[in-house]
Amino acid sequence: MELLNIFFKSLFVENLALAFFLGMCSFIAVSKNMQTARGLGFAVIIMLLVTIPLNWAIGRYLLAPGALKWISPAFAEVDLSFLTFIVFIAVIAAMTQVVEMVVEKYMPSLHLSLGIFLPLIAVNCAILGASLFMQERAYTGLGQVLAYAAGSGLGWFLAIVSLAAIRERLRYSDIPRGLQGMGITFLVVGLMGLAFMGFMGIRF
Amino acid sequence: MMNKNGNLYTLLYALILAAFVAGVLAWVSTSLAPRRKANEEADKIASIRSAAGMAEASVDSLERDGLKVFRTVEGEDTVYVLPCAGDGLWGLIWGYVALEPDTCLVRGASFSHKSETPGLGGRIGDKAFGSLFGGRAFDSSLAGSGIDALSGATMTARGVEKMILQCVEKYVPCFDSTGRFVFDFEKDGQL
Amino acid sequence: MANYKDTIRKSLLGSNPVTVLVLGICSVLAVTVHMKEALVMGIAVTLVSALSNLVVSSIRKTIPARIRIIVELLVVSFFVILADQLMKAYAYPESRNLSVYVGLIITNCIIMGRLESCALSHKPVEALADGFLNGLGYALVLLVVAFFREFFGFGSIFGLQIVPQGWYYAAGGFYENNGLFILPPMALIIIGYIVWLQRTLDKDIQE
Repeated sequence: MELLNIFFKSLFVENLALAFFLGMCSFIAVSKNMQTARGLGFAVIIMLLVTIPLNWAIGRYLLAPGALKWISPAFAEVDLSFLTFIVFIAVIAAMTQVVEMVVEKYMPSLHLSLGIFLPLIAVNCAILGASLFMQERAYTGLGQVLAYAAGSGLGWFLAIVSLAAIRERLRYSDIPRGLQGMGITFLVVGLMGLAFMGFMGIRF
Repeated sequence: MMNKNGNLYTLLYALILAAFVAGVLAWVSTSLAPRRKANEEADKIASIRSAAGMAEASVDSLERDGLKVFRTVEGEDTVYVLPCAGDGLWGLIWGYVALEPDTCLVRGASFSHKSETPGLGGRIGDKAFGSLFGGRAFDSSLAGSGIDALSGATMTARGVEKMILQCVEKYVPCFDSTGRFVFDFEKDGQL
Repeated sequence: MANYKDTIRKSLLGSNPVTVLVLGICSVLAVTVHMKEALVMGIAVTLVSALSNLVVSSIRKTIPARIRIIVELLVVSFFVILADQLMKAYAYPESRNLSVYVGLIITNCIIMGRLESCALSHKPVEALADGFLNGLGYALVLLVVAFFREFFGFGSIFGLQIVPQGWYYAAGGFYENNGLFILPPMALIIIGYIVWLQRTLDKDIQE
């Protein structure tokens, strides 16, 4: 029940794209059509499921103040938390490249459909933001972390797929010339964000 | 020259660069630690003084059963300041709540944060935000004092609310039946 | 000389990183509530972008292709964390205001974007100029968006009250700040209008 709670909370109330506006660059740039949006959304789900648990373990057993105690009591005083940022980023960048290689080798068709989106993810701030939130919310077990990762990933996926659907429809709308494309997309995302603020009132 | 795309070169390059970056940062961080600590300590004292509204007060910290209280003394005036800490949206938030002598009213408060969004959640660090808490009763109703000032920063506002509630819960046993703050704390150190 | 002028105009307007290339949107949403913070962030990103462009361009021939993203990120975060640590020790009050930006600078995709598309293929001096100019283009958008958000959201500019206090409803007047402008979605809507204006004026901008 608690896991379900975390899952739905990170899916809707704390939606990475529409409540916190993370990963906006690729959100707007790669939502021109449904297929690419689906590809990127899927890539984000995979990356979140891989990097969040990994960063959680690293943060908990290596970087937190006194975390190195399990190696030897002599390290109880060591505090590596100033490295958190750089380590999280390095993990994400490394994992991006590992996942790309694995997918390329074992799932060539998926690799083809993800295409250029996997490498782009290393700089997608939704991934790093999700790791930082994860650290902030002090989840206590791997189950919670996984539920959070799955909810956040699916939330971002849903958001970009909805935007892509709207943009496909916009093609048939009569929009002033200067506003076509990027301009109207910004406005649509703004309105979607306002709509998602409605979820903010929900408490779990 | 080694093959630039070979495994060995890639591995060595990554290792050397990572070691260099981590080494320099670790060295800078440890060698600057004393200065940083001193700055943080000075900042802490300034926040405590600002919560109590006493610019030149001497501050010492008292402790009982793991509960910490700060005592600020300026001339005849003695004010007790309670620390609180919690989580905002992006990182730690913390604050100090000063009590009016001999009552359970709040004299003032000051808050700070590690990494809240500038202009939104970051506003809890403003003097104006802390002053919203002045004159309120030190009970669970205190938690709502600053909420309206944080429109647009729902998560930080919730963090502040939760932090104040926890703080009230923690320190309520220190008040006697007449609502006076009882201070049989042992001196822990001078700040 | 005309060449330089052209490059400058291009980075600031024609291929502005935010309104045309759609980079660095997250931080535009986060730091444009007040103009002061927008200015600080603009300066910080300009400096980091210029410096990391310079460094990555200088070592570009040695970087192994497979790990170039990690290398680039390491360079950027190295600069940012180093600056943060130094400021914490020697300029504490300033660092209290700035350390918030650290994460936002590292994840700013303008910096990564310029490293990928310019620093890896250009000489150090050109890369330095490119990083600097794109940082300025970003700062320009930040300030414009922040102007509208601060003016309508708080009635002030650079923290200076512009709308007279007496006008406010609370003081018996008729005016009320528009709280909508403080919310992040409003930044998107403002950028949307800037994009509209820019594309109407400059017909050459391509998708």
